[in-house]
Amino acid sequence: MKKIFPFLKPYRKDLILMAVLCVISTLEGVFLPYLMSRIVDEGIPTGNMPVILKYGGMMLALAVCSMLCALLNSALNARVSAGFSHDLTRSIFKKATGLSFETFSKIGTAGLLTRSTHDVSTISEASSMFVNVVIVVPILMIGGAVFAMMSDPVLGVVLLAAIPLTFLILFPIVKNLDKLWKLSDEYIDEQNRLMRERLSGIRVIRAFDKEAHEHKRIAFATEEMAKYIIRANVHAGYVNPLCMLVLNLATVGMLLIGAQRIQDPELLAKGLTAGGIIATVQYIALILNGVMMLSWTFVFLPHLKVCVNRVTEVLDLRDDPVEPGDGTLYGGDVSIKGVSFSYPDSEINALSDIDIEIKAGETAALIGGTGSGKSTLLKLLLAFYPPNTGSISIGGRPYEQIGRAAVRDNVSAALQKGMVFEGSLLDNVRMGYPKASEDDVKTVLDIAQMTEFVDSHEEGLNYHLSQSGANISGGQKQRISIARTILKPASVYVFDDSFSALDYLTESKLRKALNRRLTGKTQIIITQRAATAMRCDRIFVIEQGRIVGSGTHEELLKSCTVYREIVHSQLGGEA
Amino acid sequence: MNKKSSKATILRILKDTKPIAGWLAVSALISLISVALALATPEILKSLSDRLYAYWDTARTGAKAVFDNAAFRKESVWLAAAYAGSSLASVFEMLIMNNVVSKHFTCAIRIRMSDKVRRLPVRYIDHTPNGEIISHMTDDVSMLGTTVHNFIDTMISGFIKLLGIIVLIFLLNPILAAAVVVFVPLSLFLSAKIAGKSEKYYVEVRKRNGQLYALTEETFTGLDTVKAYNLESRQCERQAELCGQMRDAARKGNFLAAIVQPIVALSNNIAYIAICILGGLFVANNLFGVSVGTIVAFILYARMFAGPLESIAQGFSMLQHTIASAERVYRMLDEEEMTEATEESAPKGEGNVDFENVDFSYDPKQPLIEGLNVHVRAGEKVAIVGPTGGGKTTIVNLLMRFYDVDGGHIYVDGKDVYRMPRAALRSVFSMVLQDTWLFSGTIYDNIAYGRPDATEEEVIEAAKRAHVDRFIRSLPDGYQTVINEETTNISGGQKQLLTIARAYLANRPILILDEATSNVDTRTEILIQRTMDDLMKGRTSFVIAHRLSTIVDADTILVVNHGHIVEQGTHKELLEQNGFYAEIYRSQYELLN
Repeated sequence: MKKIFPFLKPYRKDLILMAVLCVISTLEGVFLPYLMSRIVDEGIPTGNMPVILKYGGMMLALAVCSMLCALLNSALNARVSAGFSHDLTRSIFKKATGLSFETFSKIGTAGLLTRSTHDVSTISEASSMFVNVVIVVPILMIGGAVFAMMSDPVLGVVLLAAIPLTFLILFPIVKNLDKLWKLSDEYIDEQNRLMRERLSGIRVIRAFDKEAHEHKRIAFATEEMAKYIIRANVHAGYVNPLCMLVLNLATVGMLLIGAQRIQDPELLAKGLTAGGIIATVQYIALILNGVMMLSWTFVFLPHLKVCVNRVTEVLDLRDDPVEPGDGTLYGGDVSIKGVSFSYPDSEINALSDIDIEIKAGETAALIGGTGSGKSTLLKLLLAFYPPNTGSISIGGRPYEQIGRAAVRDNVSAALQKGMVFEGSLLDNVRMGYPKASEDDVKTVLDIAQMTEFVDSHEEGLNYHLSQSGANISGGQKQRISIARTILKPASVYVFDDSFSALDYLTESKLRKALNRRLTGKTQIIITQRAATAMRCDRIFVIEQGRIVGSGTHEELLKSCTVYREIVHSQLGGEA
Repeated sequence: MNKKSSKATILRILKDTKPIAGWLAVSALISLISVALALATPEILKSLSDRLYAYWDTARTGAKAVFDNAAFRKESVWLAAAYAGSSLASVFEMLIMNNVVSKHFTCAIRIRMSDKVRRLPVRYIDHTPNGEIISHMTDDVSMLGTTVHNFIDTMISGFIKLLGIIVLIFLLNPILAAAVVVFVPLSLFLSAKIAGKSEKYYVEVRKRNGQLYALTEETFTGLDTVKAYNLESRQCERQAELCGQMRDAARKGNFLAAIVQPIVALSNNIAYIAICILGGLFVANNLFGVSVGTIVAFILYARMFAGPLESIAQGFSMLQHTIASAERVYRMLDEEEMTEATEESAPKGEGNVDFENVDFSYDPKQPLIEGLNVHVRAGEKVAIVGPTGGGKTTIVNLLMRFYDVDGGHIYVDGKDVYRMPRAALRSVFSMVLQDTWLFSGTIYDNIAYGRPDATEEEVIEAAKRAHVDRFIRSLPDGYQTVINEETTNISGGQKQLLTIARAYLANRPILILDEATSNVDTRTEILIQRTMDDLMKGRTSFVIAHRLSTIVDADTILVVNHGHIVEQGTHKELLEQNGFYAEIYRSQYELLN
C-alpha cells in the first residue's frame, strides 16, 4: 500500500472534500426517518399543520442539499479515479519499459502485462468504491444506532446487535460465492479450450473421422460446465432472499419489542414515542444495506490485496533507462573477445569463451541449431545483457565506453520474431529512423521483396497493420522487419533467422538486393540453414555456446564435423 | 435490425423454450405466490403501526389506554409468516429456474451448436475466426439464458407486482398514490437517459482501453525490438497519449454514471417526503381516513415500487442485446450443412488417384485451378512445390474433400470421390501436417487417435518406427504423459514425430505429408526426414516440399504459384522445360555459390 498512496497525493484536497461531502449526503439518509418521526409525534396528534410543514420543508431542503453534495462528490470521484488510474498506468508502463532484460524477465511478459492493465484498473475501480464503503457504511451504522438509541436504548442495542449477526450470516455465503464463480469460470474456460482445440484441428479430426468423438467430449464438458454454473448461480440466488428475510424478521422483532416497551408508562414518560419506533424500524433497512455493501467489499479485499502487491512489486523494481545517444557511427569492425555469459539464475553458461573478429564490410554468418546460443550472442551484441567476462567492441570502441544507446545506434538488427506494431506499414518501417522519406521506405520495402504486397493494397504504405501484425503472415512480418533494419543508418546489420520463413527463390532475390544496399557495411547473418550461410565471407559455427569452427564454407567442410553434419542433413548428398 | 426479423427471432427463442415451458409455468406460479405474500406485508405493518400509534396517542395524555397484545402478536406472527413464505417461494423459483434454464435450455443449445460443427464445411471454419464461434457458444448463449431467466422475474412477476402495488395504493389513498406513481418512475426515466449518455463515453473508454492493452502487449512482447531501436520513449509517449484520452473519457463517463444514483435517490426521497407531508396533513386533519399506518404502508409500497420498474427497464434494454445474440446463434445453427453421398462405398485402398479436368477456386471471381489432370498410380510419390503462400495446400484440401471441386472429377481407385461419404474417402488417407495438432490428452491416446482399437504393442511399435519411443520412455509418465497447453518438455520436433507415429498406426494406403522442418534442430530434422521416407515406402504419397533435395526422385512434381498449378512433370522434365521450377531449383543453389 505504501507505494500506492503517493499516487493519491496530488488528489489529497479532492479526497478530503469528497469525504466531507460524502458524510453530508449520507447523513441525510439517517435524518429523514428521524424527521418523519417528528411529524408523526409532534404534528399529527395535535393537528399542528405548521409543524408538519416545517419538518416536511426540512426534509425537502435536506434531500436537495444531499443531492447537491452527492453530485459534487460524483464529479470529484470521477476526476480522482480517472486521474489516479491514468497516473498509475503511465508510471507502471514507463517503469516496465525502462527495466533491464534481467529485471524484466523476473516478472515476465505475461506478468507485467497483467500488472500494467488488469491490476491497475482493478485498483482504481476499487479506490472509488472504497471511499464510499469506508465513509458511508460507518455513518449509516453509527447514525442509525444513535437515532435508535435516542428513541429507545433497548431498540438501539437490538439494532446494533443485528449488525454483526447479519454480517456473520452474509459474509460466509458471499465469500463462498467468490470461490464458486472462479470454479465455474474454470469449467467455462475448459469448454472453450476444447472447442478451440477442435476448431484448430478440424482437418486432422475429419481425416480420422473423429468428429463424433470430439463432439462427445465437448457435450460432456458442456454438461459439466452447466453443473458448476448452476451451483454458482444457485448460491448467488440465495443471497438476496436471505438478506430480505433477515431484514424482515428483524423488523418484526423490533416491532414486538417496541410494543412491549411502549406499554411501560415510565418509558412513555421519558419520551418513547410511536413515531420513534416506526423510524427505528426504518433504520433496519438502512443498516442492512450497509452490511451488504461491507460483505461484498470484504470478499473483494483479498483480490485487491493481490493486485496491490503485484503492482507494488513492479514499482519496487529498479529500472535502468537508457540515456539517449547522439547517433555517431563508429565503423563496422566487430570484435568479441573472450566473452562468456550465463543468464541470471542459471548456472550453465549460455556462451563460453567466444572470440569473433569481423572486419568492416564483411558478411559473416553464425550458424547453429536451436538452443546453440546464436540468439544469446545477438542479445549481448545489442547490449541487452553485459557479458560476464570478456568484452565486445564496435569500430574499436568498447561497449562500456560508448553506452547502450550508442551501441544500438550502431547495430541495426532484424530480430527472430519479426515484430510488427499496430499502426501503418510506413510507421512500422521507419520507426527506427523517423527522418526517412516515403521514397526511402519504398526503396527498402522493395529490397525486402514487399513491393508486391504494398501494390496489392489500395492504402499502399498506409496499410494498417493490426496488433502484432495479426493481419499479415509470418513471412511478411519478417520482411517488414528486414526493411526496418536496413532503413536505419548503422555500422553493423544483423539478421537473426530473418529468412527462415522465406522460400529459396524469394530469399535469393532478397539477399541479392540486400548486398547491393549494404555495400561496405558489416552484415551478420544468424541462421540454421546451410544454404543461407554458405555464401558468406566467413562462417562461425556455434554449438552449445561455443564456437566450434570458423572459416569459409570449403574450409569448414574439411575442418568442422558439426558443420558437415548440418550441410549433409539439409542439402543431402549434393552439397 | 428490423422489427420483423426481431419478432421472428423472439418467436424462435420462445419455440426453443418449449421443452422447459412446463417448468417455466410452475416457476411463474410460484413467483406469483411470492409476489402476493410480499404485497400483503405492508397491509399488516399498517395495522401494527396503527395499533402502536393509537395506544401511544391515548397513553401520552395520561388517559387509560389498552393495548391488545394478543392481536398484535398474532398479526406479528402473520407478518413473519408472510415474509418467510415470500422468501421461501422466491428461493424455490430461483432453484427451478437455474436448474431448468441451465440444464435444459442453454446447455442444450450449446450441444446443438457443437453438433452443428460436425456438419459444417471446413470452408466455414476456415473463414470464421475460432474466437467468434466460441463466443457464440459461450457469451451469446449465456445471454439467451439470462434473458429467459429474467423473463419470468421481470416480465411476469414484475408486471404483476407493479400492477398489484398500483391497485393497492390507489385503493388506500389516491392522492398519496399519485405521489408514488409520479415521482418514482421519474427517477428511472432520468437515470435511463443519463445512463444512455454515459454509455457513449464508456464505449470510448473501452475502445481506448483495448488500444492501451494492445500497445502494452506489443511493447512487452516486442521489448527486444523496442530496445534495439531505442524506441522506449516513443512507446511511452504513445501510451501516455492513450492514457490521457482514456482518462478524459472515463472522467465524463464516470461522472454521468455516478450522478444517476443521487438523482434516483432524490426523486425517491421526494416521493417519501410527499408521503410524509401529505400523509401527515391528512392524518392531522382526519381526511380520507388516512392513519399513521397508511403512511408506513405507503413508504413501504414506494420502496417496493422501484424494484420491478428497474428490472423491467433493464429487461427491455437487454432485449436488444439478446436479439442480437440470438441472431448470431441462429445464424450459425442455420448455416448450410455438408451433404453426404452414399452411392459408393470406401475405395479399395490400392492407392490410385486421378484428377480429371478439375476446376476449383476459393473465390468465384478468382479462378485458381482450371482443368487439372493428374494421374497417380499406386505407390507413386507426388511432390507439390512452390513459394510460401502459393497455395500448395489447396491440393490437399481437394484430395481430402475439405473443399469440393467446382468442376471435373477426382477418382480414388477408380471410384468417384463425390459419390461416397467423406469418411469413407478419408479412411484411405493419413496426414502429417506442418501444423502439428495434438489434442490435450495422453501421448498414448494421441498416437492411437486414428485407431482407438489398436493394441498397446501396436502403439509402441508405431512409436518405435517413428523414432520417438525412446523419448516417450524418458518422460516421467511415459506413454501416459498428458499433453496440454502447459506442456513445455515436448519440443516441436518431437510433436511432429508423434504425429508421424499416429500416421504409422493408422496404416492407410495414401499419405499426405507436409514437410515440417523449420525451427527444428539438425538432428531432429534428419530423424523426421528419415521416418517420413520410411513411412512412404509402399504407399502412394503426396508431399508438400520445402527443400527440393527431398523430392527430386518424385514420380510427379506439381509446381504451384499464386494458387495455380503452373507446371507438372518429373524433375528431369521440368528442368528441361526451364520454367518456374528450374528457377526455384537454381535459386536454392544460387545461394550456395
